[in-house]
Amino acid sequence: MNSKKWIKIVLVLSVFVSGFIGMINYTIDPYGLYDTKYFNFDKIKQSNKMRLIKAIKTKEIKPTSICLGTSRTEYGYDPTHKYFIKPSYNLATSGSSMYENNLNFKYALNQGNLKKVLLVVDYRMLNNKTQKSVQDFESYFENKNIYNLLFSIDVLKDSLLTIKGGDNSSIYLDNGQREHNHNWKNILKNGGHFETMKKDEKTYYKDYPTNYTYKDTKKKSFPDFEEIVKLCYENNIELDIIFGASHIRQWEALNYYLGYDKWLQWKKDVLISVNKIANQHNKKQFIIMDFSVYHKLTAEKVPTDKNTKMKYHWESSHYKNELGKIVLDRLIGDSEYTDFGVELNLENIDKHLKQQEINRHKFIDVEKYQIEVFGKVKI
Amino acid sequence: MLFNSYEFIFAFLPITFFIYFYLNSKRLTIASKGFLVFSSLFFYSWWNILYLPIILGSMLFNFIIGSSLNENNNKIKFSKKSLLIFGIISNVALLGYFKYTDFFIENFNLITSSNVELLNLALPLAISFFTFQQIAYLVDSYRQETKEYDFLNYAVFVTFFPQLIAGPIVHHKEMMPQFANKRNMVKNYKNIALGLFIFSIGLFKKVVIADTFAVWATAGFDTATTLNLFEAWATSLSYTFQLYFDFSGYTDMAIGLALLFNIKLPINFNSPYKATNIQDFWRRWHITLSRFLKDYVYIPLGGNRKGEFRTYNNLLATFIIGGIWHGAGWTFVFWGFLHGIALVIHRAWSKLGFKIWTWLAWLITFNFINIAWVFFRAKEWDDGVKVLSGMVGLGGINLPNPLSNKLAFLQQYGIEFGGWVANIDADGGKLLVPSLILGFIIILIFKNSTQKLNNFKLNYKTALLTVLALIGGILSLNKVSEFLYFNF
Repeated sequence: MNSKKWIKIVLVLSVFVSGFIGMINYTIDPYGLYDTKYFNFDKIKQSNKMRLIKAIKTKEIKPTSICLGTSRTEYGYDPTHKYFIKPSYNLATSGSSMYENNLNFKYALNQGNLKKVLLVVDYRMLNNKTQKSVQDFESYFENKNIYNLLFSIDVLKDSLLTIKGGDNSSIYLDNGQREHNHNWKNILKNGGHFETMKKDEKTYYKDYPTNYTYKDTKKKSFPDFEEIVKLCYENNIELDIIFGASHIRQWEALNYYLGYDKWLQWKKDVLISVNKIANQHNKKQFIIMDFSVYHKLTAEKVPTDKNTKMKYHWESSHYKNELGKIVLDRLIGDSEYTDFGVELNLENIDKHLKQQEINRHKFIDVEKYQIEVFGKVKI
Repeated sequence: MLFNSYEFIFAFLPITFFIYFYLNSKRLTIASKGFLVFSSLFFYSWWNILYLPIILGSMLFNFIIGSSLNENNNKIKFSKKSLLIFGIISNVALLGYFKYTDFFIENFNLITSSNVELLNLALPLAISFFTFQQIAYLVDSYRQETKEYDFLNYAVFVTFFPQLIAGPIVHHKEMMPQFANKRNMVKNYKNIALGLFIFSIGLFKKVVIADTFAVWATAGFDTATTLNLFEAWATSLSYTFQLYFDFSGYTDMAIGLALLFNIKLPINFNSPYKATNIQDFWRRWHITLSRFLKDYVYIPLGGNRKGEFRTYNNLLATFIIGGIWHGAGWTFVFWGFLHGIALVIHRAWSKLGFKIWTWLAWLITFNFINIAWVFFRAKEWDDGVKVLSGMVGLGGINLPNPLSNKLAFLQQYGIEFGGWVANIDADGGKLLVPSLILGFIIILIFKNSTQKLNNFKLNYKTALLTVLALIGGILSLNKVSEFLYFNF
C-alpha cells in the first residue's frame, strides 16, 4: 500500500466513524441538550452532565431568582414556589463546593435579570473534598460549544444506556429541581429509610476538612462565599441565607467525625462573615435563618420497616419537597410552623447556639445513636 | 494550546501544516520558517500571552551569547569562558526567579521565623525546558559544536511547537541540519503516515489511558484522608501508570507532529518500566533529560573520572539537581535523592559482581520506582506519608465483601470486609482492577511506540490501529486535561 492511500483510509474512516457516533449522540440526545425529539427515551443519564445542563439552562432562562446549594437544595426547593420571583431556576448542584456555587451565581448574575437568591449553605460546601467536581467546570461558562459533546465516547455510552433504558427514569425536572419521588427506588434498594440512613451516616463526614478549605487544592473557601455576599450587596440582589432542614441525625454523624463545636462555630462564622461585608457596604445584614434546628420536622421518626415512607426526609442529609415547601413558606411568613427556623443576628447567635446544645440532648440519645451507626461510643 | 484539544487538532495543526508547505512549495523558505516561528509563538501564547516576552527575551539573549561563543576567535578564549558562565548563570537565574523564589522564601521564613511575603509568581510555561535546551546550546557553542545560524533559524530551533512545551530536550546540532535540509521542505507522505500513526497512539495513551488512571491517583493522593492497603497500592500504581502514559503519550505526539514537518525528534522513552536496574531505568525514562544531566552536570562535575567516592557524590548531586528541576519542593529533592542513592547502591553492587534473578531485579526496580514516585506526586509530605503508610498496611486491610463468607476467619486478624477501594473508586473497583492489570500487561509485554514506529508498515492493520487510536483519542477530548510535565 502506498502512503497516500494509507493516509486517505485513516482520515476517511476516522471522519466517517466519528460522524456516525456524533449522529447517534445527536438523535438520542441523552442529556436533552439539543432538543431533538426523534425518540422519547427517558433521560436516565442526564444527571451525569447536570452541571453543564444547568449552565446552559441558566443562559436560556436568564432567571430573576435562583437557589444555590448542594443536592440537598436540588431535592428540597421548588423554584416554582411563590417565594421565587419568576422566571426562576434551581441552580444548586450535587456535591458542589462554594467555589462552584460562586461560579454558578456569577453566571446567573451575568445574564442580567437576577434579583433574588436563596443560598442554602451546607457545611460541606465550605469544607469540600474537591474544589470542583468536573475538571473543565469553568469552561461551562465560556459559551461552551455543546456540539463538542456529540463526538464523545462517554456520551456514546450514555446514549446506548439511554436506549437500553431500564427502570431508571429522568431524575430532574425542567426547573432544575430533582424529580420529587424518584429517590424512593434508591431508598428501597438500600433497605428503607432507616438502613439507608445508617449506611450513609457511617462514613458521610469521614474525610471532610474542618478548616474551611477545599481538601484537594487546599484553597480557602470563605472568599468564595464572601464574593457571593459582596456581589449581592453591590448589585442590589436580595440574598437569603439559610441553614437547611436536614434530619437531626445528620449533625450527630458530623459530630462523630468532626466535632459538634465545629458545627456550631461554622454557623457563627457564616454570620460574622456576612456582617463584616454588610458593614463594609454600610448595609443591613442579609437574612440568615437557621433551619438546622431541633424541631419535630427535623426530628421526624425514622421507620425501621423497609416499606414505610417518611413524609419529609429521604435520609438524614436530603429532605423532600414537602419540607422544602415549609421552609419557603416560613421565609415568606406564610406558614403554620411559626416555631420552625430561627432568624440569626450577632445579638442572638450565642444564645441560639447554646439552646441548640440543650435541645440536642432532649431530641436524641447520642450514645444510642453512635452504637447504632458506628458500633462504638465516641462522644 | 494543548495537543489534546479540538482547536489544536482541527484548526491550528492543519492550518500551520498547509501554509508551511505552501510557502515552501513557492520556494519562500525564509517566509515558511518565519511562519513556523510565528505559529509556534501563537501556540505558546494561547495559554497566556504575558509569557511571550519572557521566551522572546530568553531567546534573544541566548542567541547573542551563543553567537559570540561560536565566533572563531582564539584570542578571547578566557573571556569566552566568562561569557559562558555569565550565560549559564543568567539562564539559571531566570529559571530560579520564577520557579524557586517562593520555595526559598518559605524555607527562609521557616528557619529564621520571619514572615517575608511570597511572590506567588506564575511559572511561565515550558521555562524549565527551554532554559535547559538553551543552556545546552550555549555549552555546545562554547565547545564549537554548533554551526552559526541566523536568529530566525535559532528561533525555529527553540520554539518549534512540537517540542517547545515539554521536550524532548533537543540539541542544536541535531535539529538545525534538519531544518536546513531542502528535502525536508517538501511534503513527504511516508513521514505524514508515520506521524499520524505515532501521534494517534500518543493521543490515545494520554486521553484514554493516562486520564483514566488520573482519577484514582487524584482521589488517593489529594482527597482521601486514609488509605487501606489495597487503596494505597492502587493509588501509587495508578500514578505510576498515569505519569508514564501521560508523558510518553505527549512525547509520541510531539514526535508524530514533528514528523509531519519532516523533522525527527530524539526518542524519550524506551519501555522504562521493563528496566531491571535503576541505571537501566534512567536509560529508558525521559532519555533526553538524562542525556542533558549526564553531559552538562554529571560529566562537568567530574563524572567517574575522579575516584569512586567522587563518582558517588557526583551521581547524588546530579539526581538531586534533576529532582529540583522537576519542582520547587522538598518532596522533589527527596525523590531525586532517593534515585541518586539507588544509583550509588547499584554501582557499588555491580562493582562487587553480585547477580540476581532477572524477575527479582525487575521486581525490586519497579517497586523502588513506584515508591519513589509517591514523593514525586505528593503535594505535601503528609500526602506521601499517607500513601506509604497505607502501602505497608498501617491504614488497615480491607477485602472485597463477596470474600467475607469464605475468608471470615481473617476478621480475627483485624482484616475487614467491604469498602476495599471505597476511598478512591466509587464503583467498587470494577474498572480499577482490570485497568491496573491491563496497565502491567501494556508496560511489560507490549512493544513501545518507538519500536512500533521502527517496524511500521503501510498496511490495513496499521491503518485500522491508527483509526481506532485516533477515534478513541478524539472522542475522549471533551475532558480537558493538561499534561503532567507542563508543570515542571
